[in-house]
Amino acid sequence: MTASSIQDNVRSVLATALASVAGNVYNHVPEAIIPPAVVIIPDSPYLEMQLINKSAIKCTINLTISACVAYNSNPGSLDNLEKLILSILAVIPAGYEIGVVERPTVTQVGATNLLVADIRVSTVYTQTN
Amino acid sequence: MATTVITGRDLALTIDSKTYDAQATSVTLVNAPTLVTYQTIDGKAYKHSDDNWTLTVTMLADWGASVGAVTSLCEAMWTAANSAPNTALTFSLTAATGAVFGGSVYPVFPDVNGTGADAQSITLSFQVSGTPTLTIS
Repeated sequence: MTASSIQDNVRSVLATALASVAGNVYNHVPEAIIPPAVVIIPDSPYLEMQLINKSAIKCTINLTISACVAYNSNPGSLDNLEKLILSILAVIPAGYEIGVVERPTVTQVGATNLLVADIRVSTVYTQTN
Repeated sequence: MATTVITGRDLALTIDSKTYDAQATSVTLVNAPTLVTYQTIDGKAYKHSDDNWTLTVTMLADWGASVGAVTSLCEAMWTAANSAPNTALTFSLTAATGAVFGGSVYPVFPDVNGTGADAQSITLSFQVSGTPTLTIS
């Protein structure tokens, strides 16, 4: 059996599930973000051990899905962000706990202003091989 | 003597030869003894008359997870409780390497529950048959 990895078995799977939303999906933090965008990044705490035994690494992974839209006009941007968030929530696969959606904030990335909201999700990961 | 610390990571649990490690988040084997109290003219006197052991397992639900020869623990327990509720199942609880509690428990129906934001978690509370054995090796 091929060794599993968080990259291949969690973040990429989640990114694939999110591929249908209207935005660029990244399963990592990219050097440049082209809005609208969905970025999957680690949350804090990142890995939590919850299951008994130590023969295999089994842990809860906490991730943040950052929904980003261009911040051009306040009402238009917020509407775009809300639509993007709702489309993300609709396609998050089974087996993921969905937490809260954080308050939107304006974030400057390079010369671009983005309106960003974080969606907290978590799932259980088991390391194989 | 050096300080010894054992944690939940040292635990291992099997019931009816099925390993629960991948789903269980906590396990407790506890006794509720029956002590009869006598009020004598010299004061209280106690007489131990009985023991009642319980094995409690909290685990992530795995309904629908049966694949090939690997059976969902919830489904297996449901089947056992439904088909043979009076047949005890053997269990083995390793507290740490070399300290193993063993015995048998009667199957129970797993509960079904969930909240919108969390993983489905269930608690199985088993009646232990008699007193568990402790094997130190």
